[in-house]
Amino acid sequence: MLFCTPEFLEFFCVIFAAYWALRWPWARRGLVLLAGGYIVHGVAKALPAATAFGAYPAALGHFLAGPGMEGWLAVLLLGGAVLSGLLGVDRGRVWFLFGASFYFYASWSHWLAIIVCVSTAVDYLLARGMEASHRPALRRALVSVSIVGNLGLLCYFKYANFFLESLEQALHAAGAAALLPRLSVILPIGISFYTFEAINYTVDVYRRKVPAERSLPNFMLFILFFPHLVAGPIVRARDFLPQIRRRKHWDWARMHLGAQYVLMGLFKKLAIADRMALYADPVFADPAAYGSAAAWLATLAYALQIYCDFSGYSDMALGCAHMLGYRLTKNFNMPYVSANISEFWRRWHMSLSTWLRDYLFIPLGGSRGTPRQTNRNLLITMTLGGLWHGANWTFVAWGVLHGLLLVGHRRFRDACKTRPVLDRVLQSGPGTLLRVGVTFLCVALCWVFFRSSTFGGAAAVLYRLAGPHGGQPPPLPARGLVYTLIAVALCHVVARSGGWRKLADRLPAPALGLGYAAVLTAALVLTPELNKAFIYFQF
Amino acid sequence: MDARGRRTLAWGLGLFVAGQLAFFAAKEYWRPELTDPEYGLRLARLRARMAEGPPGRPLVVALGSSRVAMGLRPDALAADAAADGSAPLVFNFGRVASGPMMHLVTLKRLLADGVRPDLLLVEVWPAYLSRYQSQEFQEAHIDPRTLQRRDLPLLVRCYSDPGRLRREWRQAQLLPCFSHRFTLMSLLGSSWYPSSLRNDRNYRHLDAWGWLWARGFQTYRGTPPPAPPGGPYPIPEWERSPVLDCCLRELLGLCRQNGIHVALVYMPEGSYFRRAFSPVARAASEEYLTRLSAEWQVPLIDVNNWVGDDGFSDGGHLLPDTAAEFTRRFTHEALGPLLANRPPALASGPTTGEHNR
Repeated sequence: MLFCTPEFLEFFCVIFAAYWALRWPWARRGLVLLAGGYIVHGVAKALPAATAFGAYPAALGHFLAGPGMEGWLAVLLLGGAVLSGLLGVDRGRVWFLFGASFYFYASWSHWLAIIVCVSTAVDYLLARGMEASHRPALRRALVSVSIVGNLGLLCYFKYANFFLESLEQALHAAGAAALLPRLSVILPIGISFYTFEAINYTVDVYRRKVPAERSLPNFMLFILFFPHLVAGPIVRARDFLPQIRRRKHWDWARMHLGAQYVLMGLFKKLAIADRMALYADPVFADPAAYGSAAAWLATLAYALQIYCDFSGYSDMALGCAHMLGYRLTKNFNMPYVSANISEFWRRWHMSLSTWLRDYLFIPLGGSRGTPRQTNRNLLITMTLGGLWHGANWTFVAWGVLHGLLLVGHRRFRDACKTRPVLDRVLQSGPGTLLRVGVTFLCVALCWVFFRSSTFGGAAAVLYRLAGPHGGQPPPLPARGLVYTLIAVALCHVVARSGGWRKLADRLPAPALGLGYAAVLTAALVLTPELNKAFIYFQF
Repeated sequence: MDARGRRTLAWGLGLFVAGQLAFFAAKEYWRPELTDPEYGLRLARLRARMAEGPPGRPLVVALGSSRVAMGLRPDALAADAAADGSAPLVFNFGRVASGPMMHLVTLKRLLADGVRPDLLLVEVWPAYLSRYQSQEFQEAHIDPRTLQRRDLPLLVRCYSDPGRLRREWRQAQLLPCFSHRFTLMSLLGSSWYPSSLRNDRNYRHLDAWGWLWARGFQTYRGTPPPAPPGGPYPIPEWERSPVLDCCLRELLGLCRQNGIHVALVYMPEGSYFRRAFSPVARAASEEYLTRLSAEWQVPLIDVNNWVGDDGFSDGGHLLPDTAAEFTRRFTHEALGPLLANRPPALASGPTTGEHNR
């Protein structure tokens, strides 16, 4: 179930309406009648179809997990209504959202959903154990079990075959004839994200920065909350757990904000990212067939695509969470207007970069040691950050490149401190523009490694970027890409000056509503295809 | 802030819904070309041609598949028409993968839109009338998004799965700006999408008379080698499809009701397709067409072997020059006599005389 599909829209509308309706007893009764009636009707229809008593479970399972899993959805609504009546609205809502999140993940694979739940329950118990214990050795052992367990799961599902394949290639290169087995595992969607969330929780409990959560459903909801489950933002326990305990009230201003985020995310994903893929995908699939113009357009298009795809997803996640009364961490802050690579990483995928800073860079020593140690820490952090993205050496190369850029930037910054004239020139308006341009160019070139599945492919693209080469023209005329780039740049300029906020505050409600309707219509008209997965879902 | 948020969201939602309703109304009632851009474009061009010439010219409209769309070039007759004010106005309404179902839909739309041809040429290709998968093939090429509400009752009667047709049509109406986005983008900014996503590839290269020539036409594969004599035959047996037969008969009945002369045309094809039918299948299909022609008193014009293999792009679709040559000959030898109520030498069955009405 993807965020911008009719299935998700249906799912979210049902969950949203039921979640807020649970506060009224009459609505709960209505839900019990509606969902209960649906289940009774389904069971009454399913059971006679089973010819033998032993076939009843299968018939029931068929009804529950039938097309669209409506049977399970009905069970979820019924459970939410009943639990809200028994435990109170607030607890009922937590259970209901946890159930909805499980349902959301199980729509891909119920086995993987069960695995996530089990690993989450283990983390919950380990954290409780850490809090209860005053013996440092035991606490250290418990946090180690949690980290190793989480990273072990991540490595098993995501990196096992990658390491086996790399080892096999290395043995081949050394002249040994080795044929290593491959594991037949499927990658659980979003595993990199919830693994990091679980680690940040147990480490923070170990450091006594957050208390261990006493309620299992609360903790389950923190990890499984469906808006952030599959592609972040990576939420921190100290930000999210207190929100679960807080009573939720309907707030129109918050709904308005949530709708704004969802609209913005939809537009970025459907109208920009998926359209930019039309320029990038064919070229990266067969770079040798295309000329330099196509390679440049594809590189620019991919830079735009990945930004709008991922930030679009994050916006939708933020919007959905706001509409359910939760606030998630902001993940992007106009990264392409960064004047240097350090600033870029403070604006790009902020929840990951701060996680890497707090749980990897700083424990490694951060920037407290000598410049050489700092550079080493930066390189290690960024290399592992690259590997986190995917099980491929091109991701590692991408991480290393960013590490080198960060190291280079630190040295350049230090050099500028002793050259005040150069520093003044670079801080001026044109100088800043130049720095933004150079930063964007570096980032866009690094994306070539991120997007290519092999080093050969990346080299072919870079070779074409380096100088004029013949080949096929771009898959589409450049006009559409140029207009989009200009529009995105203008939006950034206006947003940076706070223009959108001022405009939104001043416009009368009908004019603003007209703007929303126009944005939604434009997103729907401009989308090239539906059901195109988000890039970050694969990580 | 609360009241403003509520008002803004209400306005936004209301205006979005109003926009969808307005678009639905526009495509259903005022701008049918938004629903079916190919039909709309052909209709606009037909009206333009009708408005150009001297009044009273007989109007000849050809319905058929891509073979007609690419094989009949009325523009080749333009010089004759300029010299002779009474020359017929021939317009090509052939559509890719179109069979009797879509022919009937098109004729009904034309009549509803005030176009009543004097003579209707209807392509009859036995492979498109066969009960073996031809209905499924034609249904697969009918995009529910391109259907108007007025088309539904007819197609629901013919479709193998009317429930699916209704469901898909209704789904397409929920967010019409989304379901018709490729049409809108083809009209507004066609270069924004690759041709694989554009739905105008079947009508992008229409000329002013409805003739279609697409260099990268999807069926282009080069001329296939002719089937060896004696088989094996790609089409070993033939039996009429009851549904398609019913559509064809309904079309003939509608023409009779509206006083439109009809001629059935078996378009040219290369040796591969001519030899694709086994002798048994050919005899059965010919028997069916002859019976249909006699039953409805409409001539059957069989020009199947008029063109040699070198005149086709792929054995089924005529090359542009051949199409022009074929059209001139067809007009001279078949159309002229038909319009003059004389039996064309090559036609089997009756002429378009009074008994055809």
